[in-house]
Amino acid sequence: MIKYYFFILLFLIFYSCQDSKKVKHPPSFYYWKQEFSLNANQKKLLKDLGSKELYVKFFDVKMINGRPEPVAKIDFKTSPSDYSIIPCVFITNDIFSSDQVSPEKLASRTVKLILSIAENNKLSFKEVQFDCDWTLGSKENYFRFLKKASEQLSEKELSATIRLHQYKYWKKTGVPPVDRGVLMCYNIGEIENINESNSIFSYDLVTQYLKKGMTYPLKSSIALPIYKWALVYRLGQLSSILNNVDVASMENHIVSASNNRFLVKDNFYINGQFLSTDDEIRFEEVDLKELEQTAKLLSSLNFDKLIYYHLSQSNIEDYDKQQLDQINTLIYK
Amino acid sequence: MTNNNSIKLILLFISSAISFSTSNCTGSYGLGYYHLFDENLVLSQENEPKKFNLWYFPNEFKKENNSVDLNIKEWSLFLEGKYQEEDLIKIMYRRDGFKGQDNELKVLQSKTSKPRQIAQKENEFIQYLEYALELENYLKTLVPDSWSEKPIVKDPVEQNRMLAKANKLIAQFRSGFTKERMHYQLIKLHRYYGSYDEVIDIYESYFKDKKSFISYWAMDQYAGVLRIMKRNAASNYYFSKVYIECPSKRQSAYLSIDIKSEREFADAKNLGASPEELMSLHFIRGMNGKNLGLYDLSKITEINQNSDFARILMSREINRLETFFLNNSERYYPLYGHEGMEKLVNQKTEGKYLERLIALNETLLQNDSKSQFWHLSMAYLYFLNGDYDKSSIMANQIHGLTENDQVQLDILNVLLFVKMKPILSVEDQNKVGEQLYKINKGEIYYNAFDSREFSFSLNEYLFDELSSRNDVKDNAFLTLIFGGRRLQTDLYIDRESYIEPLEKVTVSYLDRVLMDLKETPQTKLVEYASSHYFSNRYYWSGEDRNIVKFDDVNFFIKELRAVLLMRDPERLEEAASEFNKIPLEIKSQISNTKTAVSPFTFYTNDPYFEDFGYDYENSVPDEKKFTRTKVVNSLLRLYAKAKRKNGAEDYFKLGLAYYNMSYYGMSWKLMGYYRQSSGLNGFYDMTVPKQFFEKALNVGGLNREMTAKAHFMLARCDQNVYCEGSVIRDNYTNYYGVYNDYFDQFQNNIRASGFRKHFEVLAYKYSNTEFYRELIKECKYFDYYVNGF
Repeated sequence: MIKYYFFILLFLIFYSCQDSKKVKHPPSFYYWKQEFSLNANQKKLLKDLGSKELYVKFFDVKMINGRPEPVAKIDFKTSPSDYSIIPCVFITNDIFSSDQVSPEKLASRTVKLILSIAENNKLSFKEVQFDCDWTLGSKENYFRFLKKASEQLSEKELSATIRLHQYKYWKKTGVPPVDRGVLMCYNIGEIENINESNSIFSYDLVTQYLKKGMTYPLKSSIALPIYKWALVYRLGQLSSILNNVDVASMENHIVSASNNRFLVKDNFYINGQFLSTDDEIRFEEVDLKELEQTAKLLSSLNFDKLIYYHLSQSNIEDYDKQQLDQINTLIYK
Repeated sequence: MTNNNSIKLILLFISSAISFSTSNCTGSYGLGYYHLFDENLVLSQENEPKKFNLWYFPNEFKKENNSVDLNIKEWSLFLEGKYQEEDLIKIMYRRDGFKGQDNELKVLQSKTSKPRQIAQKENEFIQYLEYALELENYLKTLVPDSWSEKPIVKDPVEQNRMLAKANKLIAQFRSGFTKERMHYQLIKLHRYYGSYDEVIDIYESYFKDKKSFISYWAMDQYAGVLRIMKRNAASNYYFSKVYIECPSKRQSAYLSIDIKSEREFADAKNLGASPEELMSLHFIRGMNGKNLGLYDLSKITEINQNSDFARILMSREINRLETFFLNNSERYYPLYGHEGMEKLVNQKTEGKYLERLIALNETLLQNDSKSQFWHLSMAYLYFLNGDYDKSSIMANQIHGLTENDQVQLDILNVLLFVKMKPILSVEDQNKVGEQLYKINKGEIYYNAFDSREFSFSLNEYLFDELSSRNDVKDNAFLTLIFGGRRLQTDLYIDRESYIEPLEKVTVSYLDRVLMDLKETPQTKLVEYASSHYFSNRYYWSGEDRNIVKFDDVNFFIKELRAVLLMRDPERLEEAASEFNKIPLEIKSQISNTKTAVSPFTFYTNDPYFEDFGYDYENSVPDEKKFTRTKVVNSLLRLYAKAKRKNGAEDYFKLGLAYYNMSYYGMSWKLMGYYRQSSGLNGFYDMTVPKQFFEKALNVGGLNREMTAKAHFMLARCDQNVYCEGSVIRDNYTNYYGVYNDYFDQFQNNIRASGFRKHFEVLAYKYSNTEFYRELIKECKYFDYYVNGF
């Protein structure tokens, strides 16, 4: 009899261990450009990784002339029907700091616009995501907005982005009233600082916020960066951010100052921005090895999905798909 | 408007492209931003600074209020001055609908008593107005709602009707003015409908080469259509013309200019025929707040170094750099994603840029105009660069200036004087003081041409400079008036920020200040600085600030001293004596020295501070208010009585008064000057009221109701003390009125930390009192304590 119970116990232990293993999903991707059109390289990457889910920014909401207005509305040049689309909306924090804006009214209008865009492009979706870097001053209004949006999207899942400091200090910063969170693990350095080495990502900085075994009172996914940019500093201050540029595209106008830093030697235009003599440019990108290292830390934190930010860049083929897959795998270990 | 005037009066500057905050958190004069090269002086030969279009920050504009004003002026001229502009505004810019031509004409004509012989013009005005209002409504149907995805449905029938009506009016109108305006309306009609070729046709055949007010409005529309038709070079070119020539469309034209490459810039320039047009594009690019102006400035000076474009742009670049070089404090930038946090900036490239500006300016001296602007700017640039000798030599070469330019030179000279003398003698101080009075036209703040909105800061800069000198640092009074530290708000601790707590103001500190005041020679500079300090850094009652005379300064310090004394019940007598020394006219000038709210009122439910704010205070006549002097004398008598009779109720009243006069109470004004909502300041020491409530309980004699109230007041004190030390401050119920997690957590923690002893007593021993029954209904904390766990 004792033997019988012993084997039952062993079986139960084995079964519960199986249950506690995380289920691996292919990574998802953010698409953050106004024009939606996947090129061959982007499609190939998605196929190679088995990725089916795209978080697509439908529009931003910004304050214009004292009123919140939608801007940069998505334009689907090609159909995304092969993928599962999650509409995303980015809302600037100042909107919720204003006492002139009704969060509930804004939520209704925002949801209505999301639904219209989806309908016009024959898209169905199961989740909507809101992105806002709320502060203590805007928290209450933002959370009211989310509550109302949730009511209006009652059959959809609602997610919201969370920054590292909001994740770590959630007791103070609050937890958004949504179904899931997405921890944004990028743009974490001091972008305004001319002496910063990499404002996009740093493993050391991540470890200041995330520790093994930490919990957050919402089921969450993790967003990691795969992008690069150039930051332009003028008179010691951040002047502009240039996307989709590399050293070659401006080599006639710049001289190397150090590793990833260059000085402008004469005025010129690039990507519509006018750069001045003595401007300092810092090229930043993400080291995938650091992401791997981070993924090992993240595996202890129960994130259920990885989303890469972002797919919508011209040089996605620079990223090694095996490494991206490996990082994804590590999240689930 | 002539070309010269319009250009000169155009655009001003963006002050500095970037704003900073300083690290100095003790409320000093160390401003984050300096502006000592005043464009209102150096660019005001015609003395009309109001025409300058002021930009506060890069790409942020003052509203185009003058669009309405300028348009109304045009109509007023058309109607031969027979109508007041404010009446025309009401008629033209209206909320209600058009009430028929006859009615509208009657209304119009009723607005003037002057003999009218302009019936034709009045009729045309009314007919035009009717059309314009109708068009406005129609065009709304052609403008998409940004929140909607529904496409606009055009109505060709309505479009044709509006076209026919416009053409009929054009044929009918006799006046060129109204005909022109109708053509402008036609352009709008075609544009919004999408008939872009028609817009081009009308503009080019009717408006081209015209320079009337409305022709530039038409040009603005024309440039917009060119953009839609992807004729970008022409579009940018015409928008730049609107930007330069048309103040009422300046903002929209600037925002519409879109040049993304050198090729596009050259294409737009190539369309420019005149030097003014060539310079204007450089000017527009240079004035963009994100861009450095030097390159475009140099291009402009190659064409005409004495143009307004060049002088405005140089002034802007100087303003941009001033803060970098004049700010003594370390500069910080905000940390991304961390509200309230800042990090130190490393200065590197500003010096290089300044040197390049200096090099350019040096080439312009020889051909300087009569205004000697380039000599003034040169002298100032040398000053910024720390070349005081060179600056001084240059300044001495400048003579025969206009009044305003002379003021700018005086500003520079006083700056040099102070910078070049590490120690100022009494005679030196008198000279500096005299100059400050002269520059500020006898006032203690700079108010020429309303440039306070640009934080013109000569006074503050000089005081900040002097406050760092040893002879000032050794004198507490001089440190105060030059340092600018606000005494009345110094008791400031904010747990939500990362700023260290400030030093508390004490009686002994004020005694030092008074002592040093007695020893300080009364020079013109000291007089000026102390007037400046006590007139600007104090909270005044009413709108008008009085200029504080040097002889009265000691009373303000004594008044503050008396308030500090009053916070200690053992020093009430001293406080009363100090208050009595202060003349009534001084007391009446200081803000918040009296209140309509009695400090002896007991509140079960915490009232809202807003309910006892400005409106409430103003509803009670002054003679019925509680002044500090009155209250301190009442407290003195009450305390004496309490000690004499061992009166529990007297002790209770004392506790109540000290609680209500603290930061947490409605009568805080009696022992404070300013109450922050974002953090503790002023008097928030709960030991004083606590000691009185405990005494009231200990001496015995309170009935059960009063005893319950005393315990409740002690519980209030305990909660305040707990919150002072606790991270969790937001202990409210959530939006829907249900206790949220934070509230639960807060209640658990405060109880576990031992700060609910008095709630416990209330709950177990006083539940049969009236007060208990009232409290459980009114106080959510107590309700939770009893029912919520």
